[in-house]
Amino acid sequence: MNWFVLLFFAWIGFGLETALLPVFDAGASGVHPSVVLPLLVFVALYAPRKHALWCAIFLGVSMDLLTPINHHNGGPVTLIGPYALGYLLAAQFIFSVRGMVIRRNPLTIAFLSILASLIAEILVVSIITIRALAGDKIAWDAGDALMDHTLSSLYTGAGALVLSFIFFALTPAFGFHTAIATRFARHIK
Amino acid sequence: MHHQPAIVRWSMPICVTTLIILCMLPSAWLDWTGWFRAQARVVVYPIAHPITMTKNIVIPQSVVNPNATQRENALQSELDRYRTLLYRTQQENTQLSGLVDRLSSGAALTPDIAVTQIPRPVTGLSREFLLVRSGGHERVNRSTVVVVNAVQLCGRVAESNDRTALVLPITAKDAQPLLGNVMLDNSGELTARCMLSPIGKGLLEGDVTMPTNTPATAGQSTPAITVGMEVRLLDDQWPRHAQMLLIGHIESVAPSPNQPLRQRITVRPSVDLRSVPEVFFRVPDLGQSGQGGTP
Repeated sequence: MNWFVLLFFAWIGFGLETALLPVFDAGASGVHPSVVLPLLVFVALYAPRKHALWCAIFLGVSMDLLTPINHHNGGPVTLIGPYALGYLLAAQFIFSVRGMVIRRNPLTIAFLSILASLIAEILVVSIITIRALAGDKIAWDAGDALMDHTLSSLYTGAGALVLSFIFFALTPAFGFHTAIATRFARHIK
Repeated sequence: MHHQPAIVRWSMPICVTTLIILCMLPSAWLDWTGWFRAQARVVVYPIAHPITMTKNIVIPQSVVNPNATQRENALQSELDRYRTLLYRTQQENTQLSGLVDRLSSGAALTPDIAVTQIPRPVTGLSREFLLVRSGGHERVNRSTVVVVNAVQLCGRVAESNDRTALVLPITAKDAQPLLGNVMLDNSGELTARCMLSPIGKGLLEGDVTMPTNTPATAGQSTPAITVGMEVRLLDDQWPRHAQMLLIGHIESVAPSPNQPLRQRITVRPSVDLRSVPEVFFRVPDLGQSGQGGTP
């Protein structure tokens, strides 16, 4: 796997998520798609296991740093770990099912993005809820957050369907080699 | 059989264990993560800002009246500014009257503070926070008041460093409640108090307390609260220079479910605070703080 290409596209992905979040935010309600998670799904489908897991930790820690939570005193709190562990679990899930799916089909990326996002978001909500229940003074409504994150997962799947065509075209650039050519995009070498 | 070095074999379990421990640390022990958060923002900024600029060109900010001409918009903006000035002056008059009363009984004097407005572009959203390009050298720090279009209250700075600032909009789900004044007439003499809390979807909601008869309003009938009325900030938790800034306009009025004799209003700011292209930091001008008589 070409780590430089991964870092470059992760950088673009985080930039897109930061800049376009208000545009794709459904009704300003906190429901929005993720660009980074479909990238993780794509990597986990093709990369060796260890590479995929380290990629999940890197993307998760970056997501943790870029999504602070509001503290009761008005300031932001950065929790390093919830997204990193969530993405790690999601990557492990993708790795365990990738032998049973058609990797080069866009619907696979879309469907697995929904499942991976649900796994990651449920873990994130659980960790933060446990903290809140333990008395940590963070502004957090578990039910509200779970609803938002679940709907966001479905939204992420819709976005992943579009992104999958870009990912398939970039398969050789990422250093992933497949014996069967994809029907859905021309490779960019 | 080939064996990997121990550090390679154990790196993943050690990393996962560290992440689990970090997840469970109390917030008070996580101040050091702020430095890493700031660096992450600095790394993402060069790509997020051009995308935001492109987005602002392709999808312009929504306006209240899309059919208004440029001159009508300019006049409306000027009217809003003067209305804010009028209300603030009236509020200051009321406060000064009270101050004179208190001074006569030996109360402390609060100095007037001039304010500088610093325009800064919004780079993007980070969960509920607006990511704004800023700088500590501009005296932007935590709790600095942030506005849009000079009069629309946006929120407060939650964190700032040398390059960026995080702003928590008043409509963010986690934002603190605000005390506001419903302007019942255009003169600004008849007002009703309300405590507004964010409810998501860019809206604020709260119960209204109707005014009791004062010498200024004696003999006048109290107008009913209607959709479209302005709600302005009047909250001691906010700096004096932020008082009477516009919170928004009433979008709906309904009886309060908990207190049927009171009315509950839903307020929407004049712009979507999550998608503004530019904000203004209101920084007290310390060089002119002596105008009001610093103690």
